[in-house]
Amino acid sequence: MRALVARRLLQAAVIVAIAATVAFLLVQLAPGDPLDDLAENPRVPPEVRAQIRARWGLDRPMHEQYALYLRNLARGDLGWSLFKNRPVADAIRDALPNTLLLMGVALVGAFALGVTTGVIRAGRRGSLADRALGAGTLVFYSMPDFWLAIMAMLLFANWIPLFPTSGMTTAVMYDYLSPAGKLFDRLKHLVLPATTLVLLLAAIIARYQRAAFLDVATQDFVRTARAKGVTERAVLWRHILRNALLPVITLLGLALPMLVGGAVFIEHVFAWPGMGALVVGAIAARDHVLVVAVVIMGSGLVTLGSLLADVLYAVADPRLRLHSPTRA
Amino acid sequence: MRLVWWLLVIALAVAVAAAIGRSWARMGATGGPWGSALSRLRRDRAGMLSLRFLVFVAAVALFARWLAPYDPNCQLDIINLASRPPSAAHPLGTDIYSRDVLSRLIYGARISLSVAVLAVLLSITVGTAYGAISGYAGGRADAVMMRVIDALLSIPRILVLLAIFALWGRVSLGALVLVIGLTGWFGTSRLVRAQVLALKTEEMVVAARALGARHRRILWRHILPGVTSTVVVAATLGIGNVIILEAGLSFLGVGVQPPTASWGNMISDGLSNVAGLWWISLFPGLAIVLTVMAFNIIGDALRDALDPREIQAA
Amino acid sequence: MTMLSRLLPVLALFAIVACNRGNGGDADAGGTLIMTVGAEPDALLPLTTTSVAGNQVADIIFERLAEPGDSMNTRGDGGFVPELAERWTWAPDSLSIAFTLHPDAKWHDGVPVTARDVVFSFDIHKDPEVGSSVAPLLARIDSVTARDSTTAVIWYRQRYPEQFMDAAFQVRIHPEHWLGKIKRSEYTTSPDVRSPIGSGRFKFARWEPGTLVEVVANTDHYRGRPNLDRILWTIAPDFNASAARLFSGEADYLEYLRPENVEEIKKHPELTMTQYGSLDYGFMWFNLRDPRNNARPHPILGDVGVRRALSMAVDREKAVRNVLGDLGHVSVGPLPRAHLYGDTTLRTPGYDLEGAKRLLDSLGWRDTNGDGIREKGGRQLRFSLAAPTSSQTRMRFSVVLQAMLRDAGARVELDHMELRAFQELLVRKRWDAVMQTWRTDPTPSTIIQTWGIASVKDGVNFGSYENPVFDAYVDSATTSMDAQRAQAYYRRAYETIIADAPAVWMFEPVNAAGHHNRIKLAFMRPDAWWTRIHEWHIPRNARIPRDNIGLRAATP
Repeated sequence: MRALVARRLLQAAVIVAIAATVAFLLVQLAPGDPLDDLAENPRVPPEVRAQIRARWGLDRPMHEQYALYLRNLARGDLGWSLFKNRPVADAIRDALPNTLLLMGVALVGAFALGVTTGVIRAGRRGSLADRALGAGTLVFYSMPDFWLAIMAMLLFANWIPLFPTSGMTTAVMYDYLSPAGKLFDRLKHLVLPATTLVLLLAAIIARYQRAAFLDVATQDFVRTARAKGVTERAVLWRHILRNALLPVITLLGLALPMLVGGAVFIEHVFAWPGMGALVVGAIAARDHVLVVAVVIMGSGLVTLGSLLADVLYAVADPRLRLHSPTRA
Repeated sequence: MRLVWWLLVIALAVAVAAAIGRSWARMGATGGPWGSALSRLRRDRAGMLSLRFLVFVAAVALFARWLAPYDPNCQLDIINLASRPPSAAHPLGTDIYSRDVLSRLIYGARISLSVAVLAVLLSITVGTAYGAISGYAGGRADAVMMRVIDALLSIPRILVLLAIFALWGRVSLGALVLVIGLTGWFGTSRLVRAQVLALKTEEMVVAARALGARHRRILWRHILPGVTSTVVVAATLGIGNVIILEAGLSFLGVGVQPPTASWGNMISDGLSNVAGLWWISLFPGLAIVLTVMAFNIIGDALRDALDPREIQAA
Repeated sequence: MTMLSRLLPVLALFAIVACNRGNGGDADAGGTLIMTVGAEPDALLPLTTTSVAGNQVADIIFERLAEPGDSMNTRGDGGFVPELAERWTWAPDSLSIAFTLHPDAKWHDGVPVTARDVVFSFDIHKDPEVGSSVAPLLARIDSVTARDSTTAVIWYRQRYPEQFMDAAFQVRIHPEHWLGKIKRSEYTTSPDVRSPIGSGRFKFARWEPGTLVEVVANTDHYRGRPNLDRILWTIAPDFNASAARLFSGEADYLEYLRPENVEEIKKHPELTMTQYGSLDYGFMWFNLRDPRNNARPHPILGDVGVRRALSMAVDREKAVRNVLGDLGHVSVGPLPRAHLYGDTTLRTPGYDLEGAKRLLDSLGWRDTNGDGIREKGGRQLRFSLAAPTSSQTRMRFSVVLQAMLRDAGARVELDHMELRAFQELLVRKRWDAVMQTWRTDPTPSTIIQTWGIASVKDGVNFGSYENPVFDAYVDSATTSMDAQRAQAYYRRAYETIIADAPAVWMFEPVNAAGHHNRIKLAFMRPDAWWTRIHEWHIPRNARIPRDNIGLRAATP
């Protein structure tokens, strides 16, 4: 077990390094640099521009910039964001908790909703509930995420103004609310972005869950249990569900990248000041230092998620401990 | 240019149909998995409905010239006919440039579908090749190849796409297909590899190896036919994903360049004022949801029909 | 004064909200103004900020020696309103101006503002290590000295019409006792500069990155406290999200409404739209040089006849109505109407599709193969038109132009690209045509930076328009001490460049702010609508809960 974790951690480090390098290359190769606004500004003379570029090492060849970046990184310095005009570490420290909050809520909600839906559908196969839930799952599964977000925003901003449509808190009044009021205000702001993410993710999970459930339900030990006269309810809960949850655990590894990707659009639309919003801005501004840092965080999160899933899987399914730990 | 595109798409459609038909004929006669799968598929009502819907959409795309009431790029009257709600003359209204939304929706089907089909074909090809080689080679090569995939999968795709499109500046349709296709195969390669790992231990393959058959022959003869069902399902589901992706790219302002209509850039044409001009974004949005749903239903149905226990596709 | 009276009709256009200041003084003070904005400031120090968002906040926290009046006169000191300087005296030879600071002027930390701060401020603005974008504008200022603690003297190398403006307007005064402690190379990176100390009517309160910036009333200001208690800029990068905050009541003020919001504002009885002037003008820019080889003229657009014909083929009135609705005018040329020398009687090429076709025919561009596109010598009349996706307006104009030029037999291929990619393309001069907008200064003299020959090599004249006659007229206008002659020279300069058609002068936006009814605005100057924000007020009987927070700081 420990060896497995150690090996996976090493692999994770390599993966993150590759991802960071690719991201660095991509942003460097993209046309423009963080100081292009100055080039288009008639008031900024070329000498000043050249001087600022030199100060940030933007005039040096790419490999030198990358080497410099790695050296700084080794010293624990994530660099300076020209887009935010502050240290990258500060920008991330502000944005990361917001994203984790949104993703945490979305993950819990989506797993609860997705698994329940999947189980209900598989348990009552062919029933009206199965078909209705199936249709619902499919609709959300087939919908562009930004489209759902915009529709939700349209609905709640224009016709049913129940929930705030942007930001994390009410602009000014939040700071003058009681602690309970603050909590309530935060929850209110969380409703729309979190619900949107939950719906999108739950649709994916429910599809997997139902298939996993049916897969288990047709296996021999279930038939045996039924033949032995175990009640249908007990079969469902003790035999099928427990085993059908296993593949869903691996979904955790898949859900994280989906959330990281999906959160980009959702954060953008709902003006949620998180990592997604940060990276969209950073790409647009060609702030490669910030982009790479976000990618390191993102891919780190993703690999960590799949590592966690592997460990959980190994814990839940003793057979796996004996077999090869590499995932298919 | 446009003609070349159309010839390509039609040729592809014919090729795919022929391939399916051939395997049906061959397997069906012997009662193989495709034969029983097709008869099971026939009984799937939602699946058949979706199939009919897709055939309809494809026909609309193909015969757009005769079906569209207006030139899709013609700005009819930018003062008096811009942003008109649905009416008898314009059943789905006009957009902010006074172009007929229905005509654009019809022509947009061409672009959205062909981009998706071609991109998926590309990613499936690359993904299958990579996955098959990795799985068949095994050992250290396999481990390295899969770690590369892990790394590629852990960079948000949208970031990769944005950077690449920024790099290229102008995005021609061909470039769009290439980029989407080449960034979409990582998941497929994983699936194929898993399948190949399983197939490798099957008696036939082991026997062929023992008999000294060449690797290429084993791959072509025994491994690839075994992964066809996985690949077909992944491709069907993948088309839906790419249609959604194209819309997302248009939302961010890259993607199919105007005035050419795609469902994705039609949505973003209306986004400046969704509340006031809902019809501009709603109809292409619906078209996307319905078409993607149809692809997903068929993908699910195919998977169920081919192998009820098959692991889910990407 | 003739100048001013000529300007009055223009001013009347902007003064749509006639707001009586409500001379209630402190009794009427109070209220919270929440603005919803799309961009976060890059910095809050006037010295280092290069963004519009940053300048806005910096302008409210910091002060100038004197502020241009509502007329935006930039020649001499006419119309300038005292700010940090209480008064000023010109030397008889006009080679120096002595500014006497207001005796009660204090920094937000209570330290008095002195002449040494003025000396320090000019020094840091000119220091190459700081790299301020203002530095080149101060080239004709020789030195700045402190005669005594409240008198600073600006010494010039030569006298010129806008010498007062360069001293009073371009440099905002920074505190030496605070900024002097920070290393000059760290003015952009030091964490301290994120909470600036200024001398303005509002003082910095907090900056929550990605979320908001807050300033609160400076009740100790030497000219009296502002009416409002606090101003917040809340940030939402997506325009729809930003606008939604206004419509839902979360925010009170949105500085630039889009044309499509006009209808929506009407549906909200609690909201009002206030129009004000703009210093922007937008145009379809032709590259006069070959994008592949800059030494050669552009094979199609290098010909002034083709450019004129293309200009005539564009129905600008229609295009502006379609894209901007009521929030735009057809452009009068490379200048905005609101300029003091903005001459609305200039003649730009009118819409004449048949004339355009005839002109193209006569130039040898004919559609010989019947494909709808003209050819000449085996070359199609075909070029690319780029626009950045960050600008809804420019993208929409490009689509409309594409269709209009198709009717004249020209094929335009659109390139909508991300802003940075667009900028790169623009700067490298690898384009045929682009949609561009210039935001001008209050002074018309900066036109030489955008269209002058010297800017082809080192500046922003990316389309490589070169006409020495134009340059000479502008030069005469900017150096002439006589206002009327200057105006005549400007007119000739404008006529010259319009005749050369280096661009199709398309549009000039009309700015429109959307705001809650309870906010009573003051005059909004086209270049900086916030200059009189201290006069804005919220009547006591119209206040909502957040207006009554008082000056109490937020508890985190």
